[in-house]
Amino acid sequence: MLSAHQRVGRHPQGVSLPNPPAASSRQPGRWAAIRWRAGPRPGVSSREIHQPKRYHHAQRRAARPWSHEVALRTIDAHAGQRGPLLPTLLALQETFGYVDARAVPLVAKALNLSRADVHGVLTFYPDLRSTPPGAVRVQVCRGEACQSVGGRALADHATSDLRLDFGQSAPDGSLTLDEVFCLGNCALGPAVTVNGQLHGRVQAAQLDAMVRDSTRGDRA
Amino acid sequence: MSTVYVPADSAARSVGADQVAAAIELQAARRGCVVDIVRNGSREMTWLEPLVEVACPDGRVGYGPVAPGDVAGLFDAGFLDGGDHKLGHGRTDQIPWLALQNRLTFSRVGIIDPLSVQDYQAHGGLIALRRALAMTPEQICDEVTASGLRGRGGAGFPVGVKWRTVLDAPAWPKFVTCNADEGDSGTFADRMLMEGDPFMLIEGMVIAGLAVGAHEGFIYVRSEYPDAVATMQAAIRTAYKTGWLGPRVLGSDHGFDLEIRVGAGAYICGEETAMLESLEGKRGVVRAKPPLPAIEGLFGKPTVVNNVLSLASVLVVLAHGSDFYRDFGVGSSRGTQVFQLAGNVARGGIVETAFGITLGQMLEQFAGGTASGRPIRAVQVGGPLGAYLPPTEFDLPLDYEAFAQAGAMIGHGGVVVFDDTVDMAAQARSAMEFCAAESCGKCTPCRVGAVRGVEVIDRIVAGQDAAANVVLLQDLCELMADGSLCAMGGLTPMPVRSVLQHFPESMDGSAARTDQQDRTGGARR
Repeated sequence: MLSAHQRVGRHPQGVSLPNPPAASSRQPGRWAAIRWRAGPRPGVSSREIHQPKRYHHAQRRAARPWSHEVALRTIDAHAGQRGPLLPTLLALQETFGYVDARAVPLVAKALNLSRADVHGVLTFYPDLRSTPPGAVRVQVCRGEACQSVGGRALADHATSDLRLDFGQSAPDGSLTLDEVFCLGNCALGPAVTVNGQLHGRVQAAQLDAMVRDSTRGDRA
Repeated sequence: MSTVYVPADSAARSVGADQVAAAIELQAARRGCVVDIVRNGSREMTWLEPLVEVACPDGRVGYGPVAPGDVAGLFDAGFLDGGDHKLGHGRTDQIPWLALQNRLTFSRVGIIDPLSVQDYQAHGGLIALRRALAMTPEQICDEVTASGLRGRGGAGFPVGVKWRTVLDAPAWPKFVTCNADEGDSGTFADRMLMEGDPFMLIEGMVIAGLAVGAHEGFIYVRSEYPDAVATMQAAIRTAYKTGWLGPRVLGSDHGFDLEIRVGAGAYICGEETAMLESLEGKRGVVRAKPPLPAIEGLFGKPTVVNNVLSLASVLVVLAHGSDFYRDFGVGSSRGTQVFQLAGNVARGGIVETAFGITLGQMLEQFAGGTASGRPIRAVQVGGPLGAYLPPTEFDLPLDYEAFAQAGAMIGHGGVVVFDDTVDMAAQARSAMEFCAAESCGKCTPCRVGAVRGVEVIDRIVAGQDAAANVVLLQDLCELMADGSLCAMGGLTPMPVRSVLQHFPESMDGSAARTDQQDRTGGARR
């Protein structure tokens, strides 16, 4: 079997694109091979999808420990795309919870980029992490709409109560506290996410309870 | 069997819609009722969320805001037949807040099951695409130009003119991209549309492809919207299955492929050239213009970059004709704008209305004052880089030109309300702080200016030579506005200047003096 970088040598990033084959001659369902992160299963009618228990909203997957083979497979799955670097790094992060330093040379080789290019992208985007996150991730919205309904006080409460600055993780790895500029819940602020789940009209006591419950649930 | 609608929109879920849906299922099972629960999009009245609706013979009847504990009472009151209850609002479409609006782009959101192909077509879906397939690319561009539709992302550039530029560009291939990186605080319309009516955006993308001769599209969605990403992905997969996407769109010879790309938390990627860089897999650093993306965009090829609402509005133009659309609005702001009432408001949500109503009417008729019950001190229109306006400016009509003349902007239509407890100096500082955090770093006025801006405002607030520092801040604002490469650095001065202009008392250092006098027991002036 070809390794990831051998196979994607055909798709270096940034080259000028070839002229036609006419697009309409493309294979149908070109994207069907992409593994959907969440979505309806084949053969399920849309009515059924909307039964509450089977709803299609985004799922959070548990991170796996580092594995060279899994990393190569993940990189390979995105290698044929146009502009594959960001989707590849996001996929690695979804698999492992962060982008391990060991993945950087693998990505660089597979996409025919320098390690500096990969490092540059990895460090530009706030979402991409180079270290493992805490088991529970809390994001507090700092946007103006949330500020207007007590967001500043809630953010201060979160940092002082959890004894973490924004962007920091607890030393025992139980929790990561992040700030975010707008979660799109601006008429129901202050907004917070706990492990990706959005909460609106969050008061300090409710935030404490949610953090307590999820960190406890995580240890159990 | 009764049909009950419980929104699956992430705003509704953030205040317990999933738990309400589960409680309804449980109560129905206990009482032996057969209930079909449809998880629709939001009706955009966020102050009523979770809003539960029941299909009755003469229309849908709404109850809200419903907590899981209210569900048993709703069953007791016979809500499945529209029975009276203290949370009842009668027919949802007759609630004045909704009835007063002009719902054109949001006509289906909240009404339909977002992923139902049948619902979409039953409510006017695909009419625009079928019409576009019978037209030449030039005719589509002309029709959109004739409607007067301007880009809804903030800059307000005429959509038809942009499309025509891409169509006339000789290079191949061409791309259609949708900017769904809705990072402005106070805006959530793109998210609600993607979660509540995803096929509308897909149809808009296909039409844009027809108009400019592109066969490939990308929707760039911010990572903060995971549910919108999941819904769009599911909708795209369905669209491939039903032949709305793929090599033969609706059986025609036009092929169109569409893909979702997810951002990674960088606000600057909402700027069109930074978004293109990010789509290419690079750091989201802005490009100098020209060349325009319409000439040299994604991978150096001619590229359409449109906001979600612009593409959705195109469907209205094509389905009902450019005259119909142009008849809404005033001056050179034609059609409807989707305003988002947010922040400290009693009744927040989405207000889609023709351009031209005044800010005061918007706040009176729809917002209904503040959530805290205190008087309004300031309203920020157009996101974090928009101006703060005091009540004396509330007679300003909501159209692009009137706002530009007043040193403000409509932007993406966010309206964030603050009550009289707001610290305006802190809001001005927040704008600079935000720019410092989110600047891509390419140009000096934005990268360095924002950091210096925070420092100068801190000195003013601390009462250190306030008058001279205000002059310095004005100077810095002028430099950033004139010297920045893109709108990020160019517009960051707008909220700061508006605070200096409309709320000078908060920026004269008097707060520090009063504090000091309080501490030393001195008499308050």
